[in-house]
Amino acid sequence: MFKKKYLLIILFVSLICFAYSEQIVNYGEIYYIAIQNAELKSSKNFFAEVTASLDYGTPVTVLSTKDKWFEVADKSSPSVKGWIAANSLSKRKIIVNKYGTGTSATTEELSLAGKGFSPEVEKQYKTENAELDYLEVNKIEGIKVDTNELLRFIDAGELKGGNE
Amino acid sequence: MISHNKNCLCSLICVILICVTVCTFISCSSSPSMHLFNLISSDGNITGDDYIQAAIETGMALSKAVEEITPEQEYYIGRAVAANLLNTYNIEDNDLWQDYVNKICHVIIINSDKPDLFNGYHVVILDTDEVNAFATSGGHIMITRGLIDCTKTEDELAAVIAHEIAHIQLQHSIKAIRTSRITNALAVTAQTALKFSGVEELSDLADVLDESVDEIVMTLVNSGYSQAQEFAADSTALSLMQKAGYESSAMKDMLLMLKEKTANVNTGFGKTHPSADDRLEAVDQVLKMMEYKEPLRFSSRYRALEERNIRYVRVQLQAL
Repeated sequence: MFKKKYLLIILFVSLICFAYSEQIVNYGEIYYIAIQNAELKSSKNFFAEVTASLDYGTPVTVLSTKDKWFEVADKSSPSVKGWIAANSLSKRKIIVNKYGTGTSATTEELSLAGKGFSPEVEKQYKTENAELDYLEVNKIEGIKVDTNELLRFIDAGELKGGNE
Repeated sequence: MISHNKNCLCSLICVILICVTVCTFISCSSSPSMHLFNLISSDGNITGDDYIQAAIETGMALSKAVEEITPEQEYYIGRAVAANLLNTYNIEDNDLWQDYVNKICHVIIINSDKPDLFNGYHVVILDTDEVNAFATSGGHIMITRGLIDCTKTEDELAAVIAHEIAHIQLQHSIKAIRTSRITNALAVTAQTALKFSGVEELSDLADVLDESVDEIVMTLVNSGYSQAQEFAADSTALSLMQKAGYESSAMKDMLLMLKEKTANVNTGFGKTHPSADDRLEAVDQVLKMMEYKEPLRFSSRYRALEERNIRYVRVQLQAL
């Protein structure tokens, strides 16, 4: 009887800890924007109002978290804040490569800067592979989806993710 | 009696402390969501050399080191892969279909855990009857007209797009870089990243990019991803579809049509993917776990599905 109770307690506590283990985040910690032109939103919804736009590599402070969304504030300008998807942030420091402008980055920061690819490396790669058509790649990346049209598309198809 | 209760309390406290410690460790180690979350670095001051040494010493496969490249690097690799693929294929010039597939893509990604990449997700249709699809780490998703024609409904088309999104979110193309010489080069170029001053160093970095891209393109076009990766993409796609409000069972219908159209074909999908039968069997198992309580036919979901079917046919007719 005692052993059964013991086992149940272990299982119960383990389940609770496991359920919350991936959400252990230290509020006040610094993360880095991991996408270009990141949009912070007024709430945890893709269609919420945009409160700010931050550049790749911008350090932000975590204010709160909920459902794989983080509320963050720009570290250098704390009044600039909003919600962003957790996977659009990096805990690892991101250094933005600024070739040709000189940098005072330390050796450690260099290793954190990534593996060396950049617009300059791409330019060199294009020179060595002249047959590649990057104009078409740029055209692909220029494809846009209008936000209002997307919302109508979701509503008409009774899909999820709209203003719920 | 009192000492027995005291023993119970001490044991309980020990158990709780052990569980919290173990689970904190688990939260910091690699798991699929943590990879997507861009790994938590325990020590932000690790140098490039320390990193490589640590990777070898802890027995991490060198290919794992590749998963830790930055979002910006993934983007440039993805661009190069896309440029290489567009050497072989042309983009279909059809605004109506292009708009449609991009909207479906956006519905799926905004309901997923990774709604954004360095420069977003974009879908194009390739002008070929070959049945095939490609997705790069730069978010470029390319689906052939041949594959689009294998679908009969919006939900089946969503299954195709969700599968490609899954490959991106699971970083399968980056993991295709397996040659240790290349993964090593990717790791050490970090130290030269901002120090180079001449064309020679720039050329070295371009060579590393070249070799990385070659390996990915070889995988996409010739060998295909591993069976495990394809099944992971199917399984993830089912979840992505459900989160977006699409009927996951449409994946099964899509695979049945694919089976019919790619039987005895050694190019495209037939060459680079497991057989449709194998995929159907695996998808069936996952679908059984995802079963809704009420049958589709009698639920409000059926009406929504009909609306989307009408929309699909409308696009087909208007695009003619």
